[in-house]
Amino acid sequence: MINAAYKVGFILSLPVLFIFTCSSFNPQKNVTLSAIGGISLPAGFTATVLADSLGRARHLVVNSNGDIYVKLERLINGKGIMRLRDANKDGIAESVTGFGNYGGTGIAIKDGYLYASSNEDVFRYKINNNEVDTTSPEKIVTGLVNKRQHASKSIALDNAGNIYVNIGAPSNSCQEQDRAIGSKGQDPCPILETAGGVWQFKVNKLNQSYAEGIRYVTGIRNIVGLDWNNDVNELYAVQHGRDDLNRLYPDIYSIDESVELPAEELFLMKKGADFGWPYCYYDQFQNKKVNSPEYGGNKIKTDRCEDKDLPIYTFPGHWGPNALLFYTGNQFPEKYRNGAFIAWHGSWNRAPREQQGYFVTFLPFKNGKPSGDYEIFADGFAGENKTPQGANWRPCGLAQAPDGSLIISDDQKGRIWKVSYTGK
Amino acid sequence: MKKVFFTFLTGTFFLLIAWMQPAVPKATMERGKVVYDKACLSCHMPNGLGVPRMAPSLSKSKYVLGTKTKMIRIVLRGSEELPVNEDRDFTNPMAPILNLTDQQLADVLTFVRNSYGNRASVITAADVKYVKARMN
Repeated sequence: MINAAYKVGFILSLPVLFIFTCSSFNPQKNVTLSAIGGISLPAGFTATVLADSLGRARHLVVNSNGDIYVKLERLINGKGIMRLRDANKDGIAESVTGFGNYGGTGIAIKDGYLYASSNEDVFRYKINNNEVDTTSPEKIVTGLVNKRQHASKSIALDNAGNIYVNIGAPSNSCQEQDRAIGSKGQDPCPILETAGGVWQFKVNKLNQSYAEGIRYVTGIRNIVGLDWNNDVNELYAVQHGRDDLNRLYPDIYSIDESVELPAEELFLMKKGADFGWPYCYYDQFQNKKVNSPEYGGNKIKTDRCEDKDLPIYTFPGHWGPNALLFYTGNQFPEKYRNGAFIAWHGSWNRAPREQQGYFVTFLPFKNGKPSGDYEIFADGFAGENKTPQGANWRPCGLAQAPDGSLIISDDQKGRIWKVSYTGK
Repeated sequence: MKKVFFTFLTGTFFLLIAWMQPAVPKATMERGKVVYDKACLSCHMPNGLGVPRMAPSLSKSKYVLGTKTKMIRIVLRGSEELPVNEDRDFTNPMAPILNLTDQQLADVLTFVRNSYGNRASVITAADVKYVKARMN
């Protein structure tokens, strides 16, 4: 009898044993760890992994002594800024220390100060003899719109004592009910009063907010990649274009059109420019701005867009540009000088088609204008599973080291690469 | 030893019960997937795993596997119905879904409750109607 019960028990537990066996023998998928940190680069370039598993590593900057400061989107052990120090210059940071009790994205160094942003404020820290005085940050900008969506505040500095802060629109296309099918576009869009643009503030004034700042450019949905081009003394940025044309307007846009439209736009940001969000988007196949469907658009109409400023270059839709860097170093070959590296976080809004992006591109420049077509510079970040959730890494930040190396950050896991040119 | 054996036996028994639950009719799943592809896929992705920090995964989600009422309320009220905290800091809001019939909602919710590794009870059009009537 007992014997029989055991037999029944054994038979009943077979499926369980089977499941256990399967899971324990299922080989763990190995992350491809090549000698250069799992990515691919053009011939003549190599890379090291400076640091790994830092968390959500967003933008980063390198001080003149080589110390790298990484802004984290969320605190790790209570710290929001990590300092990586590679004193022996072997391409691997021996020391990782942290400070700053706020998460965020923006970080920059200019004239002896480190600047960093939370999703509402901008702080600065004095740098004395290559050490950041972490004890007494000054809050220079405060009270910026933060409604979670497009909340990161990217920063860039000019050579005249100004700091530029992107304030992303907390919205897809300024509908009355954001992202809802059938909801009308608000006209005029009230979001543009306090967001949807780049604001200019003074670097040396405390507690500035909207009243003290200047709305430098408007009509921008969201920007993460923002940089000052010292070659021509102008501000540039790459926009995250709108989402979901097909889901919201299936009668106007096919899935394939929605996957490609709108273009991700590269802007030269002259003071006073209006790039048209939310009323317009750029159609890279027609080479013009057309009305958004929330504002009477039908893929063709352009009456809301004729006075809007145009991009200086466009990329395929939804790639997600998270960093822009004008390369001014001498280490890389001549063609890279003053050109633009862009870190593409990688798409999600191209589903159900294959996702794209998840790489770093290079666009050559001459006199502040693109002088050729883009090429993929660093690739392979996603690995085999090119989806936002399955990607190994997602490029998010770019910085140039004093020796001319390019530093790349990833905010999926927090890997930092140092890319160098060897010519071999 | 005996205790371990009986725990094992009981566990296995409940697993069997779970397996014996009537499968969701194929037609319901197919109708649900059609609705999912149009209304949900864009953010929650073809594999239901969402977009990190932007749109949550539906796989093994406690809201997907929770009560029918809560899940119906989430689609009718959007992300307003959900808390925001350290574990749930998704940046893209979900709009209330008001353009689907009770039957379409029932189909898509049943599809999600029984896809992406989920297993939960069927939601019917009558369930949707019942919850709708008690909202506002």
